[in-house]
Amino acid sequence: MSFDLLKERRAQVVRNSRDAVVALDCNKASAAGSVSQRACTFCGSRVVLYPIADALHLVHGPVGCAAYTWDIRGALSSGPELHRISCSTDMREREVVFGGEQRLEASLRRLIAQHVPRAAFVYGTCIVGVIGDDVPAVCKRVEVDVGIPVIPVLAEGFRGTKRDGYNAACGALLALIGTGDTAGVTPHSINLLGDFNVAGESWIIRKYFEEMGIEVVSVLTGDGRVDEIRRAHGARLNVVQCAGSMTPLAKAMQERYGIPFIRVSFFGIEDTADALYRTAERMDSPEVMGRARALVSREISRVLPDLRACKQHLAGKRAGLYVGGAFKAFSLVRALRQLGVSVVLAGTQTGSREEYEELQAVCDENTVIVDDTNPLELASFLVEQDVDVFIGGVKERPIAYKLGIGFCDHNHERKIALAGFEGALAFAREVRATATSPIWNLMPRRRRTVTTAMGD
Amino acid sequence: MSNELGLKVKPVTGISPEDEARVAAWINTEDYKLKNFARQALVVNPAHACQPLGAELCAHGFAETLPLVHGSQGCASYYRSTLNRHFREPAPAVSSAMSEDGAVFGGQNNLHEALENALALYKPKMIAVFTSCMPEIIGDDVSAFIKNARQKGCVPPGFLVPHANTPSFTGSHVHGYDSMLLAILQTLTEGKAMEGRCTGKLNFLAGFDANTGNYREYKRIFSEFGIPFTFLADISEVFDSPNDGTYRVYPGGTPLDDAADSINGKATLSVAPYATSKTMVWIKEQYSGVHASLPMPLGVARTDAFMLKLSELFDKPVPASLKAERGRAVDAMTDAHQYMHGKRFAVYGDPDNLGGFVAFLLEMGATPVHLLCSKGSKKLERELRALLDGSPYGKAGKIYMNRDLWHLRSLLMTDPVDAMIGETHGKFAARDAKIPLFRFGFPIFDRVNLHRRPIIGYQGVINMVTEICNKFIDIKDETCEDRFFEMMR
Repeated sequence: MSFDLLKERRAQVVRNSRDAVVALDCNKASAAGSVSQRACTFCGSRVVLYPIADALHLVHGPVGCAAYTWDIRGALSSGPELHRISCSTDMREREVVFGGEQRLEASLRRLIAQHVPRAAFVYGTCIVGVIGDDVPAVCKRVEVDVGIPVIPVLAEGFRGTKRDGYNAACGALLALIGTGDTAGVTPHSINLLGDFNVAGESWIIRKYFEEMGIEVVSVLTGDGRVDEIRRAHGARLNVVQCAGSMTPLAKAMQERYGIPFIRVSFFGIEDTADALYRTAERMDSPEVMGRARALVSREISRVLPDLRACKQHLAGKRAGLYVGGAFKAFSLVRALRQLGVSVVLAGTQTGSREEYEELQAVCDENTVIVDDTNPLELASFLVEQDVDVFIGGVKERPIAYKLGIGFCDHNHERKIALAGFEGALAFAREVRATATSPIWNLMPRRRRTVTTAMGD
Repeated sequence: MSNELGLKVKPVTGISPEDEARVAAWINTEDYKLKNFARQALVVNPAHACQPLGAELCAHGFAETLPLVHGSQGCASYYRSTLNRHFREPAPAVSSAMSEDGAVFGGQNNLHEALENALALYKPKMIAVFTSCMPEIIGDDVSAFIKNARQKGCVPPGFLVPHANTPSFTGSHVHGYDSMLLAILQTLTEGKAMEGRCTGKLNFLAGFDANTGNYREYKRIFSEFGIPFTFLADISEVFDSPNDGTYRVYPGGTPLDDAADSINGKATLSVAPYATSKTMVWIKEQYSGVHASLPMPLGVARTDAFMLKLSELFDKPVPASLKAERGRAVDAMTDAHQYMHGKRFAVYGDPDNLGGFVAFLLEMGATPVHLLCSKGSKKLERELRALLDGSPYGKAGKIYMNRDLWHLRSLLMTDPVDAMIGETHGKFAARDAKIPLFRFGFPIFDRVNLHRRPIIGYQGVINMVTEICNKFIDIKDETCEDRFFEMMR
C-alpha cells in the first residue's frame, strides 16, 4: 500500500525519537481535499452539552444537523431522558431568505411549555451564522417569559475546529454556574469536569468519591442536571478528566470563583489511583486520605489477578490509537504498557502543541505520532507498524477490521464502561478479546500468525 | 438565598418531580396528540437526513470515484459516520473545508485546493462534487469554480468532475441522490451517444437503497433471466467488500466506461420512481432504447410486475427457476400467515419503500394502520391511498405526510399497533409503545448485517415473513405464562 503524504500534512506526522524531538504542527484547520476524521465546531458543542438530561436541546438549523447528532453520544441518564429527543427548527429556503428568528422563538416556546425542561440550549449551525439570526436576543426574550435559563450556544460549524465548539459549550455552562444556591455544600466537595457518563462511567467515579467522603456537587456533564450545575461554584475543587474539552471552563471557574483544578484521568489503574489520591490530598483531611488508600488497595487487589491473566495473553502485542484528545492518549499509553502492549502509533483529532510534547515524552522510541490524520495515512501506518489492536472511534473501526486488526472503541459509542478500576479490567478484557480472536487467522494478510486466547 | 461567595442567585427552578410525572403521562394522551399535530415550525425526531448524504451514497456507487463535499468540513464527517454506522464499512469522502474566510469571500479557493489535494492523495478517476448549506447560502457558483479550476490547472484536462447542488435546507437524502445521479450520468455520457449503437444491455437504477443484499439479489435475477446489465450506482462491492486484510479506497462501483455507454442501452429500468425522478426524465429524453419505471419489488405482486417487465423488455420468458422461487415464497407466506393475520402495523420511511411495505402487509392479511413519511408528497399520498383502498385490510389505514417520529409516537400511544416497520430512529417510539420494530429501511445503526439480507424479490418476501413471524413467536415464548409455554408454535 503506497501513498504520498500531502505536503500540507508533513508537519503533522512525526516518528518519535529521544535524540531529535520534532515539534508537531497541530490545532489547525483540516486540509481541504483530505479525508479528515474530525467533526465540526457545532458537533463539539453538542457532544459536551448533550448529556445534560433535564435540559432541552434545540438545534437551530436545517434538519440534517439535528438528525446526525441525535443520540450521538452514549451518555446515560439515571432519570430524565429529555436529551435523547432530537429537536430541530427545520430551517428551509424561506428562513434562509427571511431569517429564522420567528421560527426559533415559536419552537422554543412550544417545546418549553410541553416538556418542562430545567434549562434550554439553543445551538447555532452554519446557516444561522451566515444569515445572521440574532439567537441571543430570541433566547433572552423567551427566558424572561418562561423563567428558566435559555442559553445560546454559538458554535456554527464553519467557525474553527471541534475544539472551538468545546469552548462555546464551556461558555454556555458558565452561564448556568453561579446561579444556584450553594447552601449545604460540604467542605469536602468537588465537581467532576469532562466525564460524559458514556456507558455509565460517571456512576463508577461518583461511587469512588462518595466512598471517600467527598461530595460530588456536579458532573459536567455526564448524567448532568441543570440544578446541580447551577450550584457547581460551591465546590472546593474541580477535577478535570477530559482536559481537551473542559480546561477552558476550569480556568474560568478558577478566575471567577477561585476554585482550583487538577487534571486527572480515570483510564487505567495507575491513573485512577493517582486521580483519587490527588483529589484526596486537596481535601486536607486525613480521614478522606485514609479512605482513599483503603479504596485503592481494595480495588487494585480485586482486579490485579485478572489484569495479570490478560497480560499473559497480550504481552508483546503492538497497539495503535487515535482518539479525540491527547489526555486520553497519555492514559491509554500507560494502561496498555501495563498490559505488556506497546503503543507504536498514536494520534489525536484535536491535541495542542504542549499535549503533543507530553505525548512524545510518554511514548516509546519510533512510535509514529499523527495529528488530524486520514484513512489512507492510518491504514498505511497500521500496516507499516505491524499493529495488532487499534483503539479509536466509529470511523476508524472499519479500517482496522479491513486490515485484519483487532479494534476497541474508546469513543462516544462504546457500550462498556472503561473508567476506574473495574473499567481498567473491562478494557484489558476487551483488548484481549479482539487482539486474540481466532477470526484474524482466517484473513490472508495475517493468516495463522495471531496467537488466540479464550480468556475467561 | 445566598451563597458564601455573596453572589446573587435565582431560585432553583420550580419544576417538581410531580410536574415531570404529569408531563410524562400527558404526552401519551389524545389531548397531547392534538397539540402535537398542531406543531408547524419545528421537527422533533426527524426520520430523514439531508440532501448531501444521498449524493454521497450515489457517488460511492461509481468506480474509482471520490465524493467531495463543498462546504464545512464537519458536514462530510456526518455523512461518513452515518454510512460507517449503517454498513460498518469505511466511507472515504473529502470536503473543501470551508471556514470563516470561505463564508466571507466565497469557497472557490477551498474547492480548488480540495480538488488539487484529493487528486494527489487519492488518485481518483472522477470526483463527484456536491454542496452542503454554506456555499448554497452565500451563492457559490460551483460550475464556474470547476471551469476556473481547469483553467488554473488544478484539474487535468478531460478529468471528470460532475457536480450537483444539494442544499441541506430543502428536500431530503432522496432528492440529493437523484441530483447527484443525474449530474454523474450527464457528465459521463456527454458525447457518448452513438447513432445505431446498442449495447444490448439493461441499465438498472435502484435509487437510494442502502441494502447491499438487494443489489446482489437484483443481479442474481438478471443472471437467471440471462439479461446483460449495467447497474448504475452499484454500491454492493463498495459497502459489502470482502475482508482480505487490505484497505481499499475504491473497492467497487459501476465501471465508468459502462456507465458512459449506458446511453446506448437496450432498455433502462428504474425501481425507484421517487429517488430517480429527475434522472429518469432526463434519461427518457437522452437515452436510446425503452425506458420504464416501476415501484420497488417488495411483496409478491410488485415482484411479479418486475419479472414481467424484465420479460417484456428483453423478450425472454420468466425462467422456471424464478417461477419456482415465487412458489416457494408463496409457500413461506402460507406457512406463516396465521402469525401475521390481522396484526396492526405502523410503517414509516422513504417514499420508495413505503408503498412496498404496505403492499406486502396487505398480501399477508396484516393491517397497516399508521403510514408516515417525513418528506412526502401528494403523489405518494395518492399512491398509498389507492393501495389501502384496494384491500379490505387497508380500511383502517391513515396516511400522514411530512410528519416526524414524535408525531408517530403520539399515534402509537393513542391508537396502538402490534409492530412497526421502519429504521433505527424509530426505536425510542417502539420501546415506549412496547412493540417490536422491524428494520427494513435506512439507516440501521443498532443491528448487525441486516443490510446484507435482501428484502426485494421473492427471496426478500421469504426474509421479511420469516423475520416478522418469528419475532411474534419469540414474544409469545418470552412473555407467556409457564402453562402456555409449549413445544409447538
